[in-house]
Amino acid sequence: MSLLFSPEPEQLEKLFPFFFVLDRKLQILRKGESLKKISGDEIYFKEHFSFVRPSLGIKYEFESIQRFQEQVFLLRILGIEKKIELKGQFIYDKQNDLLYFWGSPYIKSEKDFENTGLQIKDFAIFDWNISYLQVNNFLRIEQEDKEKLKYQFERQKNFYELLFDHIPMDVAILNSDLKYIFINRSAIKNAEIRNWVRGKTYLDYARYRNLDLDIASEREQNFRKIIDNGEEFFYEDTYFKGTEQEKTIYRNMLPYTSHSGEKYILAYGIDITMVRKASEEIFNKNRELNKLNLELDGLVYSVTHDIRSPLHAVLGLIDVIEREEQLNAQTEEYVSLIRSSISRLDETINLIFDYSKNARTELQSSEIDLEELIQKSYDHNIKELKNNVRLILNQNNPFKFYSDPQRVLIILNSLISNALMFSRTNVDAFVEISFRVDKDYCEIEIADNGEGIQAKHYDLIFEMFYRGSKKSIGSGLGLFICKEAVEKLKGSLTFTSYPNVGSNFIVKLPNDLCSHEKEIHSY
Amino acid sequence: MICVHMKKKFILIDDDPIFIFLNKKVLETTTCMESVQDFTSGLDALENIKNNLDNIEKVVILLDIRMPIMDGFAFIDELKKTVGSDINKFIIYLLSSSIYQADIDKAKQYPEVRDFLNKPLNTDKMESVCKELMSL
Repeated sequence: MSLLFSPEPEQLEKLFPFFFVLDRKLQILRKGESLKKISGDEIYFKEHFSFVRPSLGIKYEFESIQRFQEQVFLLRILGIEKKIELKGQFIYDKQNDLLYFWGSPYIKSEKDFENTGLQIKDFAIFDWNISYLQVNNFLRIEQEDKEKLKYQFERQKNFYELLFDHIPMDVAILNSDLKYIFINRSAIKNAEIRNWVRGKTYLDYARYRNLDLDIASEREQNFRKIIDNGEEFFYEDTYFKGTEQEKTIYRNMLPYTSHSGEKYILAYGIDITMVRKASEEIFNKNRELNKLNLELDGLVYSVTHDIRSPLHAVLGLIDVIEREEQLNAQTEEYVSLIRSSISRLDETINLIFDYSKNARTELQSSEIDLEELIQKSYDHNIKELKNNVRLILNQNNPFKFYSDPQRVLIILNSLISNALMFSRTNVDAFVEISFRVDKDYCEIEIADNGEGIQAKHYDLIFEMFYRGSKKSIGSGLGLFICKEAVEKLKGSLTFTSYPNVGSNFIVKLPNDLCSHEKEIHSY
Repeated sequence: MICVHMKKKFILIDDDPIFIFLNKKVLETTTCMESVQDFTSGLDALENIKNNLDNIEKVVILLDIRMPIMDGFAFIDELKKTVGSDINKFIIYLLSSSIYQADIDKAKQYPEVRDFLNKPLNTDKMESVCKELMSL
């Protein structure tokens, strides 16, 4: 402060806009522009100010103040509503026998500053109050930012914890010491235990819950591997075993490394009780179904065999009658009708057996001589139906055909017997069968000049037991089983037909060549 | 002409007497039959074979598969136990109303089974059997 003596008072007055000057009578001779803004017009010091500090031994006298020159004064401004104090120092001007007060308002906070009603420009540029305010302000803003960040962080943390708490699966996070740092509500319902678990290991928890400690320590060794080797680990927990409430939790533990390189284990558990139950149910149902299928197989076998056996006995006896007895024309016709009836019944039983065979037996593919198979089927059917439809056979098969012979025969039998059954008598009836084999497919076309199919029957001819013609002497099973067999072979079946012109069926079956021979055979 | 010594002795085993009757009728018309014996159960047939084993030189058995108590396969098992190494005296044909894959598979384990025949027999089928038997 002593340095300040050398400048002129006018200059100092600029540095201290709250200064005032006293004469020996303690009259205020002059005061700073800023002080004028916060004080009244009283002339005497005593009416204008009261001492806050020093408070002991100080008197409202020139000499008394002069004696306290080395002290910092706090002066309360009187005559105003606001509580404003000036902080500063009195300096004696020997030359003019005057006391100068150099100081400014005592401001401890921004609130104090606002209280004065002053502006920053009312203070000297260097004024420590302003620096104080600025530093204070800076600190406050920093503090506020920190608070804000902390608040946001807390909010986010709460949000995720709440989220994890409401996820309907168990979530836990373990640190590299294998201690729980988070565990959600689903994993441990009881809040007290949940809090207790934080900072504990799985083994601690297992001890607390009286779980099998051998299993627990084995699991903890695996947890260690997750941290050390980044291996994933999973296991299943079953609770309330053997009771109604039995439940199974699938637990998966995943390694996680944070940005800063810290290792954690993320653990989640899903209740798979329902899945488990459902799969058990499916397993049991499947087993039952398989058993039923086997029984049904046995049943179909027995029924078809047991029915066919006596039928064949009847057919055999009819043979004997026809061979050995002298029959009159009428009896001969009756016997012939009995034979065709029995034959039809036998065919129906055969079809049922075919259906069962197609539905239940595995595909067994082997090389198929289509020409031979078609001839066999034609011969069989022409004998059964006793008509004279000609067979025309065209072929173009540079490749061998591999498929399931039993099912191909079912398909051929159905289509050929229809072509023969629905032939017209007033034309030169024929069935023309063409087939073409390439390395992927075999296409068989069975065309006839028979009575054809009316459009209204198109959608129905593949239905079980459907018979669309008076001429149909079958069971209505043939095309149904044919379609089933085509589907089993993953083939396709299409047809075009016009009444009194004929029908044309096209069967396209995959050639199972690849599974038999890698190289392509050409004839 | 077929020589007399080429003719074969036949044994028919079938639980259904109608098939015995029908199959005998067919056999009577075939050229290679010397004699035919019939049984409605495997047990009866076994008993008879056991008692006459010494007199049997070569015999053709037409055996129904599906029979009560002892089916065709069980009969072959018992026959082998009963006659031992004399099993090569027997030529066996299995008879059935319908021939099932499962039966064919099973028959593969029996080298004694020569073939399957559909019931009822007819003269054509039997004549081709005769041809086969004479080539043995």
